[in-house]
Amino acid sequence: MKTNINEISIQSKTENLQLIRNFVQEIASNCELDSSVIADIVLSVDEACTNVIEHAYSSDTKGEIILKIECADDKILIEITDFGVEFNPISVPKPNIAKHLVEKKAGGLGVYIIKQLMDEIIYQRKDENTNKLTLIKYRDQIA
Amino acid sequence: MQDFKVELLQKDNVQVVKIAGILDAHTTGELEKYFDKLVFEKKYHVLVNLTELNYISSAGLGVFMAYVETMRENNGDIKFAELQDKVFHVFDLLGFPMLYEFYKKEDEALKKFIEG
Repeated sequence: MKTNINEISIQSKTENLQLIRNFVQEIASNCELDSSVIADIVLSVDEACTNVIEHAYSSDTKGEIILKIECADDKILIEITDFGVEFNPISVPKPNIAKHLVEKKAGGLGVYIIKQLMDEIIYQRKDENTNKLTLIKYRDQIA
Repeated sequence: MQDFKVELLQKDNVQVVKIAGILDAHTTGELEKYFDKLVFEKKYHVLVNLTELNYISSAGLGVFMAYVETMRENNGDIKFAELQDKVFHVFDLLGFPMLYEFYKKEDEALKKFIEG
């Protein structure tokens, strides 16, 4: 398979999550992946972009999110870049769901989902204003 | 509003919340309004029917987490029925089956509420 790279730039609004999911779905569908794996990747990217909108940009809708998907022989790689405040999802602790219920709050759920569904997560803070999160799913680790 | 709809029905003393379409960070605010209304009206027996829900992200699950304790403190609960496999998969990832009751059919969940 030839490595294929696709990229889009999207404004940081929750109403664009549908656009983000459609983009990932379309590209991933051309990567010869099982539909359940594609659904897991779509959900992971949704969770990561929701965090960018809510945390890196604090729900300011004028921010930019750049989404790059690389479909390679051995893996599918998604890069999510934003220019908001530093937000490192890897440092978010595992949520204690039972405790969340009692405290009537939720948080850290999205990151926990991404960690369960993707094989590798890399976070980089660059140039003092750029967050880059890379999510990788390896083909040989797909059950 | 994108593909998202909530329908509220009452069956005996149980409030059936039917959610259709997509429940993500964009649509959860709308669902919260329905739950706020239920709490305001002291309606604590809530059956969530998800037969027409096609997609959920953690933002959607967060709504059920934020309200269930209020329902339980008032001798009520939030129970789920008729989830599509792909939607249940997301609930399962976060360990919801340990903390909430799930039913294949709405009638089973209703019976559970009524019989206690």
